[in-house]
Amino acid sequence: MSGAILVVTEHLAGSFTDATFELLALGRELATDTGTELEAAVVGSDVSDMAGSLGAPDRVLVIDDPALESFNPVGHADAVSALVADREPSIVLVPYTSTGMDMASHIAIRSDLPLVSYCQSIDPADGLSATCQLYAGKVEADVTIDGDRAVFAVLAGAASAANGRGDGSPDIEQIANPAGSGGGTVFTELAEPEAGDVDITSEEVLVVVGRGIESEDNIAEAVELAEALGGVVAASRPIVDQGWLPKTRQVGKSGLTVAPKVYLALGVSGAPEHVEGMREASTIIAVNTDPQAPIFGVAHYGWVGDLFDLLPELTDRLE
Amino acid sequence: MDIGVLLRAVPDPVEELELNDDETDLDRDYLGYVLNEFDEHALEEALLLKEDTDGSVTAYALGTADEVEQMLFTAIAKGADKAVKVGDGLGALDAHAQADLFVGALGEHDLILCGVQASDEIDGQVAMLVSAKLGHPHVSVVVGTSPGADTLTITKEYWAGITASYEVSLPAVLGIQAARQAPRYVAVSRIRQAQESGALTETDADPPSSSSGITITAVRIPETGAGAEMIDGDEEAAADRIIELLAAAGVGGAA
Amino acid sequence: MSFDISEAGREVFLGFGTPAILLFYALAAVAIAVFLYGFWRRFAKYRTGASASRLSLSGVRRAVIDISSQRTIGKRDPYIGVAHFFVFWGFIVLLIATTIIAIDEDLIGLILDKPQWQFWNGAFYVAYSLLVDIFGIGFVVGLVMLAYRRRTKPFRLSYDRVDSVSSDRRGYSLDDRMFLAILLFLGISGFLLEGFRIAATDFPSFEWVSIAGWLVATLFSGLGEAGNDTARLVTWWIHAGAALAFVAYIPYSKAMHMVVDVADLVFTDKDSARSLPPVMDSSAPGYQDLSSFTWKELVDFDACTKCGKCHELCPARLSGAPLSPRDLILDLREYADARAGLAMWYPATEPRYPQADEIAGTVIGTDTLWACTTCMACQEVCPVGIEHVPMIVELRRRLVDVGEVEPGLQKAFQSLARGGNSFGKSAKQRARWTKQLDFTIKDIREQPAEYLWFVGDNAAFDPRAAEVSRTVATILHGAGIDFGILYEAERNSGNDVRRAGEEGLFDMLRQQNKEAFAAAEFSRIFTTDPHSLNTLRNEYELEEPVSHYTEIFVELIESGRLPLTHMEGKATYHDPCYLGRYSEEYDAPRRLIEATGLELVEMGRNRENSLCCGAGGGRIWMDDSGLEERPSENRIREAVALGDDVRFFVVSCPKDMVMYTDATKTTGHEDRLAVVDIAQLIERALDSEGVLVG
Repeated sequence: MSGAILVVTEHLAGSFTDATFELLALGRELATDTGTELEAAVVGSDVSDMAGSLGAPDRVLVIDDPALESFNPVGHADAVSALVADREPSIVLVPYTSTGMDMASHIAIRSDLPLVSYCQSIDPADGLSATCQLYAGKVEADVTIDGDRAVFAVLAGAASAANGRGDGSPDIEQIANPAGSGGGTVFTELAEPEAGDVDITSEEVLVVVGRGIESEDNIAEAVELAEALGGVVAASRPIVDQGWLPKTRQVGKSGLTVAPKVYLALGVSGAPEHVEGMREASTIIAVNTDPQAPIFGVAHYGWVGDLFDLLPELTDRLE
Repeated sequence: MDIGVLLRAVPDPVEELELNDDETDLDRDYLGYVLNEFDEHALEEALLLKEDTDGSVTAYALGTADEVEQMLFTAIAKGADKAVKVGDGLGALDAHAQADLFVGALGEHDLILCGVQASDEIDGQVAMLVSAKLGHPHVSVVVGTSPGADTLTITKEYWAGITASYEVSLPAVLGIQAARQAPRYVAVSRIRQAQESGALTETDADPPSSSSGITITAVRIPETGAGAEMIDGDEEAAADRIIELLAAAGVGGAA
Repeated sequence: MSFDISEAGREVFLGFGTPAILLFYALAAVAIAVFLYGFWRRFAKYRTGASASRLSLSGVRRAVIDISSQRTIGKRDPYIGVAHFFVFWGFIVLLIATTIIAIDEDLIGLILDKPQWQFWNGAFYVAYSLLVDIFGIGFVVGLVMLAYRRRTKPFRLSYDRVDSVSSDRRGYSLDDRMFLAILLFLGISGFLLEGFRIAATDFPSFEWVSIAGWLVATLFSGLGEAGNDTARLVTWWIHAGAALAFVAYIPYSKAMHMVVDVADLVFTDKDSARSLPPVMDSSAPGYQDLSSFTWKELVDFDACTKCGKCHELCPARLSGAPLSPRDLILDLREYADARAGLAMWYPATEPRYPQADEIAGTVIGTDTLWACTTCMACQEVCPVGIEHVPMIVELRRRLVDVGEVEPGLQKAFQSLARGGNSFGKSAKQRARWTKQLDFTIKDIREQPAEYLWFVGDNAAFDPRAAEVSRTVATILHGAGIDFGILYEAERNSGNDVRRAGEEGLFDMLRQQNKEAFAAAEFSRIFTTDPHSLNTLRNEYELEEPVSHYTEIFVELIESGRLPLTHMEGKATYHDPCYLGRYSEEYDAPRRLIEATGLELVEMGRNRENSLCCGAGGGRIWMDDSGLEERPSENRIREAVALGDDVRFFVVSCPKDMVMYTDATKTTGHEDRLAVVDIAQLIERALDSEGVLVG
């Protein structure tokens, strides 16, 4: 394979996102397999120091442009597209995230490269091929790629972010922005979610308590676990009916419909009204003392046992 | 503001998917199709912008499934001024082909809205492919718009509720994640009236000009949903496995 | 006592000079003119209503019985029934007496001038006088009873609203009291006058039949002749003045109900909620503005006497939702009157949104309209024939047409349009519940069968209700009943879709089902779902009879095809709205429970008076989290209060199975009270042991 592996990084407020490290981990594996170099593209303003903190890539290509201080869908896509056209990497890894979606198609079209989306793994041996998720994860597809170069929009979880941190000190290559500065699209402001109660529909991790939590006092343990996971606590109706958690936390027919990445159901029996509100969750892990609990019918993973035994074990491991 | 909305038919997510005999695609013989949910939001946002600006909305859909006409009639019933069905009996198309056909059929519009993604876009997102082909400014994962004089202020969601605002000059292409408000309901009787409104036109589809450059060689249905994978062992074993699963899902301390 | 009956009679204007007589007629003319004007204005308002064909012989016959027996008023409240019976018949007899006098005195005596034709004398006079006094006494007694009930401040007579809207309703209370007071005054002053007249005419012996008057005369006999005469004249004018004032007051007050409610009872359609009116103009479904309402509905608005029976038992009101059928009608009345420029005699309550053309969402709030479970309790209990449910559905149709749909309902509609079920499932999964059976149910599309079993959504898709469906299938299969199902060709029957106001979707579902029926061969239909039962029976225009499974079970038990062993224990039974009030099947389920040997302990609210579970009319799809107490929870508490030994809460509706299983959990009674379907009881009674394990 001739060209390098190029990871298009993503950063906000001075730090790279987990998606970036996952891609670097994946990129490192591919680089090792194919005997090529791993490069990372960092686009932004005054990002050299941050770029230098990356430990996994062999080289970091920095496009420093004050006009691109904040992510600009057009500006960033143009800059990276120009970079790819110029340097001809063999594999371009773009995170399948909000910013990645703005860039992937443009990079591919500009350089006339195939684009593989919903990608969960890449196999560079024996021609380039990949595995993707289709139909909301209901189907897995193997694809082969014409030619030996492509852009991949990679799903979260394709590799472990921990493996993408690395401890090397890459070369930093400053490149003048070869493109414009996002003409037609101007960044104006960034907004954090409003304070107040959380919106469980937009959370990626939900620790959900049901009747099995037994009393209001026990909810604190679930909250602790949720915080360790970077998520929040939600509940089935009986808990909200008891007034142990606010209505905004209720999942199910009369509550909210959620589709988080991870749905950890603790002592939730899985009544149809509840399942209706959570069956779209990507990974459902259920814990219940009753092996016949219907929640196991919808869960992807289940453990039959006492949630009060499990909770401290989990929390310990996460701290 | 004159808005074009791109609508796609996707396999009904409530259907159980079955594979064709050589396991390279879904068995599409008895598959039901519905409007892609993000496109439904794109249509809603278009209708809201139409109301904001006293504009007009044209809905486009490719003739990839029998259900497409019904989707377009529904769009008319909801308030689209025109609906265009591009081609007929096209069967399933990849995203590159879809983008080509849409670009070929599109009239002049100030703004083009499309759902940010669809569940079958294995070779890229149609919304952004269209923007790349047209060379228009673009923003993806849009969760709100508000019209200005010559520009549009849009809100893009990054993740976990963090949003950014942009001023976008027109014409532009937006990939809509969610409309400002939930898509409206339209009564069945209104859809029936739309069928007689004459607002639906059909155009021929030019053959797609670009190829995705990828080939699906095999598809399979992962072993989820067939019941949970039960974790054996005590709470320590369970905790270990759950931590692994969390890491695989990209969350928790391991991520 | 003896008297010469031929002398019997009275002089109306005894001791009056011509000017006084003229004055009386002048006043009478004014009073009648005021009455006629008011009456005409009301009538003119009704004439602005949309057309409706409501006159039928059976309606008239029913109204005659209802009115003469006063049975609709006394329903489940004998005290009011008796009191109003006395007042009603007292008023009628007195009115007839007044009419007789008018004919005798004014028409025959004055206008025709044929004194020899006058008949208000002799035996007739005596007999009628006796009747008048007896009924007059009843009249006063009835009024006192009503006044007493009002003094006790029952909940149903409180005009406090259930929504957050503020409105001043003191005028209503004032009107209630005024109406009662005038009638009471007329009754008492009439007796006084009679007494003074008897005294003034020196106690003619035949007048003892005027029991009350005779008594008054005796009491006041100490007044002397002159005093008596003065008292009589004064009382005469007061009584006559009050009577004329009353006549003038009628069309501007609650007294109008005496006229309007007769009409409402004649024109009411008892089946209007069972078989809803079709949409006339599919380009504008539902009631948009006042002109959409039929004349009958405009009469309904005025017919309401604010008796509060509907207000008291409405499950929406009971659960804290912003709907009271009484307030719905009163709001519409105030609005209609404001629009028509009509006024009551008392300071009007602030008419809400008098400038709005649109009614749904303004005059009647959307939350109010979505709160209705269409349980029909209001319509069933309404003593005067007001039809609330169709009105609510028409206003919902409008909301649906303009896209103002409750979010949960929107989701259900979309699922129903997509896959024919509200569960968001693929149509192909509809018959999945049958897979766990150890026999195969006939596919009626392929093989003819005697019965087509219309399964319905909940019975097919809800795991708890599907469990019951399997029990029903097993029992019927075992009893050798020849039945089949439509498998994936069945669609939601649309009963609740229609009641939620989505007529187009209902039409679509009905058409799909009827096409499936047409392609199958069968001679009867049955269903476990009372909601489907109603629409199949009343709105599908099918030739085949449709029954509820409890009716088939009864047939099987009576023909000995289901031998049951005797069980012990106590159970209570919940009448589903659509089996009870809608389909009037109260006995079959009870006979089944008795056949199992269980002792049936009735809840206070049973049969026609059953409390809705809260699921009907599309409510099962809507958010119920804002309710203070779900109707189903209220019901479970009622059942629990029957005592510890009542362990079974028996249902005969798949939605009830869902709602009450849930409610026993949320009320914490799941260990105490088992929610079981009648089929499950039968299944257990078929078992060898025959002793229920609580």
